[in-house]
Amino acid sequence: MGLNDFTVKEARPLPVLILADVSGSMQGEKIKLLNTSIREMVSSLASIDDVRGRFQVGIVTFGEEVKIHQHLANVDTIKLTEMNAAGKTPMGEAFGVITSIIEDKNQISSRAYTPTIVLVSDGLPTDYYGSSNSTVNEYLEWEALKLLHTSPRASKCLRLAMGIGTDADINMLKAFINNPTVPVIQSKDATGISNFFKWVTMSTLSRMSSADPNAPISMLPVGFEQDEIIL
Amino acid sequence: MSITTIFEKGKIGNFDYKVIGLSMTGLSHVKNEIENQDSFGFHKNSNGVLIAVADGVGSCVKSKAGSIYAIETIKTLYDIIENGEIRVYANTKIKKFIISKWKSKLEGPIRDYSTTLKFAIISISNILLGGIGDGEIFATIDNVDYSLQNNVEFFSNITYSLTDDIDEDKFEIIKVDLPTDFKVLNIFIGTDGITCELQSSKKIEFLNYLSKKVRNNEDNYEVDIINWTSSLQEKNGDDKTMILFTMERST
Repeated sequence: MGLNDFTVKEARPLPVLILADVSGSMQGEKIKLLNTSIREMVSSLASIDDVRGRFQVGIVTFGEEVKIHQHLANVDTIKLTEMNAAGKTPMGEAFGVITSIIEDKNQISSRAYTPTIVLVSDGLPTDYYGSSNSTVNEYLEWEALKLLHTSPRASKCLRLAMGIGTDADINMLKAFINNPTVPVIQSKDATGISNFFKWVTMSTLSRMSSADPNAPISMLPVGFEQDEIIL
Repeated sequence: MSITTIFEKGKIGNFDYKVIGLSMTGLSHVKNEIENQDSFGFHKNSNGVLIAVADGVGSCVKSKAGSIYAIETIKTLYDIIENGEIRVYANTKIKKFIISKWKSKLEGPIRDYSTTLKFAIISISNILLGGIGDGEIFATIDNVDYSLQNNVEFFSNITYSLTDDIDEDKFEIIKVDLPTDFKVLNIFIGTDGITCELQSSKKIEFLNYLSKKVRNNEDNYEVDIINWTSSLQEKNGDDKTMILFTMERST
């Protein structure tokens, strides 16, 4: 018996939670690239061996239904299944699910590094009943977003977002991030998905290798045109 | 790597006590050439002892000063309790005293000085345990648990603290009357850089194991504690500070 017998064996988790739009409009190239990009991210994170932390990834999809596609798990144990695109865009309900996960200390312990929430969407939330031309402030009044922004733990998370194509609602994505120092990435087409997840991966790796993994992301997005980075 | 230690022993009434304290600069601060932002203190008077630990909030520019002032404030409180100006059971008064005294020491924005604080005031008739923020106090009296365990509600870097808008509901204080015939009292206070790395189900076992090791003067216990704390540097980059107090009725 020694003092080491009382310490936690596993390194601290650094959770990355993905909110993935799998509505009908994501069919074709978009969903294919989304599946590939997330798979590559998980694979990259799994190849890192850092004693101070272990990466975890979870995926909540919203389309025909809102569901936990991948429970939050250590990246080296994840066996991803394909996401398929169909249905509407119940993003608000998905915010509720992600908030519940983050507020649950059994799923994300207080020992964890601050989680990152990543949102990818190509359209408007179909469970938002305000104007389709809503401002950022109007979106901030949306109950689903207010829940995310005011819940004790979820409100502390780092949030990143990408809009794919011209139908993506940038004001909604800005309201989701709700931090003027973090840009929304707006890709003209599906090809940006891969670059976006490379940025998420590099940012996450950068956090873990920095002196303080809880420090905010300082890496600027790379691989995008200037007009795709919206502050 | 900078390490500060305290080793003390003495008597309170019919009890022998030992105190061991340690504060180690975390790797994240070593790499960035930032000083250890934790502070800790041990103080004895005719009635008993005070032990306290404060963890300056990393993102605040004057948090080292904040944690030093927090320890000074508790020492002042201890003297005032001894003088009888504040009764040990006056929780609200104690809380308000700590907050106002700590704030009165600061110049400029109070938020810059944010710090957690955990303390134990120990006499032979009672103990007062209290504090705000992460880090934990484990306490046993003859193996009965009186701990103020983790009230962390967020993640590893976010905590309640002494700051400009203190949430007084999150500032806990409990007084425990000691049984007249108790034999052993153990108290451990640690910052989250240490307590987060302990298995939840084994914290009291850890306290009793460590206390026994110190009380029995087991070989190299000081070195063991330093080495063990150093080993936690591989798990997180936080500053790491702890104080153990163990007291046993003299035979």
